[in-house]
Amino acid sequence: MPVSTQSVESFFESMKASQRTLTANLNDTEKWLSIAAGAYLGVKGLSRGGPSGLLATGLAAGLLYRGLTGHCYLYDQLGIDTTEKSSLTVIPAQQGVHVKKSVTIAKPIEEVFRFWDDVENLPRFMTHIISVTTTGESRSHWIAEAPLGLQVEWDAEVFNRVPNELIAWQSLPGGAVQSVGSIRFAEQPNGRGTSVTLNMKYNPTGGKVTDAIAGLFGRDLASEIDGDLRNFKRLLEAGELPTVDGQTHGPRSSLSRML
Amino acid sequence: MKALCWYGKQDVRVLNVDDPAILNPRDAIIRITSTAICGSDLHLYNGMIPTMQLGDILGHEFMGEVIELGSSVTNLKIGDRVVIPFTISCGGCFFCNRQLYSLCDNSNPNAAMAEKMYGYSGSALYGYSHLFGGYAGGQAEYVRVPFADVGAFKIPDELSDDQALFLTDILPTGFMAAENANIQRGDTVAVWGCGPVGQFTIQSAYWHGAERVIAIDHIPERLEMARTHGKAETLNYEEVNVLETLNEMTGGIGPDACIDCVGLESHGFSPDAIYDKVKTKLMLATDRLHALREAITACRKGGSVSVPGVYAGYLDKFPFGAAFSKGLTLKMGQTHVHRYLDELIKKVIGNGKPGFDPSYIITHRYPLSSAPEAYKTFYENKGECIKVVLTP
Repeated sequence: MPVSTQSVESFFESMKASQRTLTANLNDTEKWLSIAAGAYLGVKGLSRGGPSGLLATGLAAGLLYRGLTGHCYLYDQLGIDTTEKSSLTVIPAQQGVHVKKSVTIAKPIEEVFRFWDDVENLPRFMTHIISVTTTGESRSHWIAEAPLGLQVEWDAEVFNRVPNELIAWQSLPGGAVQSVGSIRFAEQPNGRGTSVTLNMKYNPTGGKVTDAIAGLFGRDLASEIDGDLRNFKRLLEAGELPTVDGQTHGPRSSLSRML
Repeated sequence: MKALCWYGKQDVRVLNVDDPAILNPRDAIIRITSTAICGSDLHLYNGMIPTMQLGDILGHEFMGEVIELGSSVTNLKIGDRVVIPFTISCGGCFFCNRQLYSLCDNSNPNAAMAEKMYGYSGSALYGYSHLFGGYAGGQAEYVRVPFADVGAFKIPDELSDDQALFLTDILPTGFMAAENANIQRGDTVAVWGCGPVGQFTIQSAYWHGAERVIAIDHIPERLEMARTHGKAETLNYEEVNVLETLNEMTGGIGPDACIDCVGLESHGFSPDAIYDKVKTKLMLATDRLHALREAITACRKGGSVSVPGVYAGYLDKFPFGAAFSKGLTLKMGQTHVHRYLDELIKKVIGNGKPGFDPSYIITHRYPLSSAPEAYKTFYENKGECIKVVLTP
């Protein structure tokens, strides 16, 4: 297995590991604001006394703890992390949404790999991707639908590609979307075709909370990946995407008149 | 064009709607010459199937003439007379490759919805709710046929519409029911339910080698048809104890194969709805399940139970212990229509001898414009009305 393949896997592993320990998720400015607010409330609370003073003192202790450790439990729950990151990581640990999904396609591995490998094929089955244009040997420019009829754009680069086995990519800094992902191809026995496993992480604007809300409308990453992989399979096996959009029907209101 | 549209419980209307259009390269447009109402259409008529939308066009048994083809369809030409399997299949997935056409992975645009409900999605169906794809049905003047290169079967001019129409659903369903029953030459086969599928199951049992067929129902007209056309011995379950009588008729052994052509007629399609119905309408639900329980209880040791009748949810008091201790084989599922059509078209043509003419089940005919009346008659008069054919 190539070295850089392992680095994708170890990336996901380290991400999971880091969630189990108490890590800082506040940047320096927030830490100092927290300490300052805690100290101020503490002095006020202790000098006032009574129930309201006690409450202020309690709150002050929490803020001081938050500032001194640099860890906020609320941020932890919400998946927010404001620490400054090194530019080497596409999506820092604890941020973003991770999705893994497999599907088997009744076509030879060479055909399945070739189709995905040509990035300009991707909008044919990725519903929310408007276009992907090749801009360099391993680089491409992506345009996708965003809420409220807006569009978002970013550049991506394939950082590992093993023919008929693996393609791994990541978004480049400066774009509207941060994502990293890989797709693995494996031949299945008895002419069953090719299994593909997509492993992807992306950082939605607004963090995990946004993705959870989008999930209520079926627009979260997991639903979109599910639909895109299904369409990938349909396009290769059936040659087209099944649809009833635009077909005829009677008026969608019960006020329609009989002949 | 004129089309029969669904507007809720016992409210279907013939309306003028847009003509269908080609939406995908593998589509075809068919001018419909004959179409039938299926017993399962009554579930839609009674508003029991979720995910219907006002204005949906019904109908999944239809045939006609090709009038327009998408750019990828090369094995059909304009003017071909075709029958259309009611299950929609892509022809390229794991399941289609193994001739399990009704389990097609790719034909249902709403597969994700079906997976949420059942954990998987079978093939799409024409005119049978958005859970099964939302495709417009064929109780209309024209219909769009997706994947037409695998989903439209040419029929020779010598076959009339009446002879060919039931190749779309109920004849292959009866045929697969007999195949699933693993019938050996000389076997005795018991068939529960003498509706159209039951009638064709009786015939198919003989094709598969049965010596005797015993048909069970309570509607005199249907039992009469099973006797005269199916050459079956018949039992009216309102008059005799079915288990005792079958036991006597088979010398205490039991039928070699038992086929349940009844199914769980009274159903919503979500498992919870089924469970609630079983609990709240106990009498009705236990009656319906009774056929399957009886089939398992009656079957001889080492025999086969085949289930073409539709079930949708969880079953209460299913005698699995009896099935296990008798070493039964159970086989079931939606019909893989495409798999059987070449063979069945030959059977209907007859290969030199007179072929099998399935048109004897037709009891009522209406023009498409009277379809609402046809639904009403079919629903209210199950004795006299066995099969309704509509002509656009």
